[in-house]
Amino acid sequence: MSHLLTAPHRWMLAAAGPDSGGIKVFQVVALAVLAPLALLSVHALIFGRRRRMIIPAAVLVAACFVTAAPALTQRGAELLGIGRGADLVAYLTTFAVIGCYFLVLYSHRRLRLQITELTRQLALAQLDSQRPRSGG
Amino acid sequence: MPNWKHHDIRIAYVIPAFNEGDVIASVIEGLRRDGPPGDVVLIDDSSNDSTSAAARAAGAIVLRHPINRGQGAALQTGFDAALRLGAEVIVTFDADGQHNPADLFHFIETLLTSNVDVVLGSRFVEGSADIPAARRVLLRAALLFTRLTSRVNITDTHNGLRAFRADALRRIRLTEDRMAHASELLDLIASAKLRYVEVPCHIRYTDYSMGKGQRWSAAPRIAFDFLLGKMMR
Repeated sequence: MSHLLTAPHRWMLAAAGPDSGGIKVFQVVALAVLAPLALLSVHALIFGRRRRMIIPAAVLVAACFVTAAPALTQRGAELLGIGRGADLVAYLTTFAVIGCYFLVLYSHRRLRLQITELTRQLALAQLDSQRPRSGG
Repeated sequence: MPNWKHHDIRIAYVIPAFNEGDVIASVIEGLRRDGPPGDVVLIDDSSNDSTSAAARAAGAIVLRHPINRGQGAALQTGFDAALRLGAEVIVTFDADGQHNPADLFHFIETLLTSNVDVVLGSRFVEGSADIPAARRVLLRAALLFTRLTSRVNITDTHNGLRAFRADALRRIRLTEDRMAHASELLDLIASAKLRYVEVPCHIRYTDYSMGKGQRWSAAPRIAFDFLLGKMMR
């Protein structure tokens, strides 16, 4: 049992890198928030078949990895030729924000269309009570 | 009335209106007096003046949106209503009195006798002498945008005077509630491969109609709404 509890801790220490100075309180708190949200979004994506969850799920899973293993972002940045891990995180955050913005816009548009259709049906219901009169 | 031969064709005029109480009665009366005979369907987009009452008194069928949804939404409501009324030709007509009902004879005659699904009004087919300079530049910019995004070969993109055959209108559906509907309509016409032709129409520019018209400041928003809608459609 104790092995199960300490295993993630060891993995995080290793992933944080040799100069990380161990796990910070911030990482533990952030992961306590992010990990359940990531699990929920992945669950909704896979089992709920909600395709629009793909961006939130990707962002949350990535956030978990970056928080747990900051050294990974540095390696990723070097691999992409960006240089600093913090820059990679900043760029990815920008893309994630843009993605989320369009996601909200899409939801807003769907809702707007539904409101318009409801308004339209209420207006068209008035048609039955009015006899058409020919012009001219 | 010119020698009108199409009394057997059922025509519906769709007029979207918002706070047009001052002019709507004269617009409808002019349409009924000077245009080809047809049902006038006015969509009151939740005006807070006497638009509905004035239009009804002038002889229009009035459908009122309980909340304001924009001109595009009102137009689509009008299309649905016209089709339910059994109209064979559906004409869109502006509520601010800038269109000339006498143009409609040529409009509808062209639709019924040519091999087309849609007739679009244009201020530029026979020159553009009457158009204020600022409005002309705005319309040219809109034209360039529409040609780039929808590949529709026309001369006037934002003209509210249009005539549709009913079966053509059933093949398109507006989703842009607000002013991007004009660009969307052309895009839908192109997507549905409807046959269209432009015919000249005369616009009466008054202080009232200019005050109701689109401004430069609205252009970026309209372009954004249209592109976003096109992407999500």
